[in-house]
Amino acid sequence: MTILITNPNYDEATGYLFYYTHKLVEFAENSGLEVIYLKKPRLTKAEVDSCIKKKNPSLILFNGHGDEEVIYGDKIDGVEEPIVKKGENHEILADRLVYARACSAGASLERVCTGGRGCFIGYITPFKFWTDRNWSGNPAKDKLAELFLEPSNLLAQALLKGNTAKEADSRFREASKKNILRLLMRKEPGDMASIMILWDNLNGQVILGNCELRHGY
Amino acid sequence: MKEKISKEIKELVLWKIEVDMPQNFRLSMGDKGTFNKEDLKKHVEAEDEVGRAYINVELKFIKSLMNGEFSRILAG
Repeated sequence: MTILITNPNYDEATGYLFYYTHKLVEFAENSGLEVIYLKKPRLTKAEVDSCIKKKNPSLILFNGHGDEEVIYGDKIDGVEEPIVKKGENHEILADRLVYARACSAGASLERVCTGGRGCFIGYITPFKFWTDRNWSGNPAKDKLAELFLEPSNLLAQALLKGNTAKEADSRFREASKKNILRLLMRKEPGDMASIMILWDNLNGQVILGNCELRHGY
Repeated sequence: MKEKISKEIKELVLWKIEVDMPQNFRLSMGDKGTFNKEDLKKHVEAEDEVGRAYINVELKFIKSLMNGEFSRILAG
């Protein structure tokens, strides 16, 4: 079974995503999956198109920036490269199982996947997370950022394990709620701000289409 | 046309940033960027795209606390 994972790294936000996505790549490889891992310099629209058409991955994990109509890859010559764009190459997502850890991509692109038998998990608002300035540039040690990014990794891991999209979505929601409850009981400075952002991500995540879809089936 | 944000709402959000957000916190808001406490205050004051997005997050959260949605979902 083949999966495709994109992993840009060109600013602070993608730097954090890069660390967490790399953990997913290791998890997938250790699970015996064939991983198409696209990062700079291979993370281009042409390469994404080609890999999806030739390898037909049963699961796609997009990471990085996005908006209502675009999922971006890395920067090419200083400019963000759109790797999936509505009206240009969005049809490559049709009937597929996709998790887009990319801002707002759920607001429009989901219809492409969900028009047929596919399923799209994404966000209708920007995916947000707090980071700790004291650990800036060191995501592995930033326990504050982990509160927000680990639940999304659990979602991706559930998909990689072959759980249904609905089950994977639940992993994210349960882990986020668990973090909220833990923070409510702890009451340290900044906890209310963290709870608010966990809540925002909970409400911003959408699962659209065939929720019973799982990769490899 | 953008809706005008009331003075009271703006003051509430600025106050919440002041009391809720430690100096070491930085908020990553996707491709809008990463913002520290002073950045966020400036954006809220300016009512620009980032400021409005942050105000919206705060207001949605307050609303969910007040209408019981927050506790209902957590208990579910």
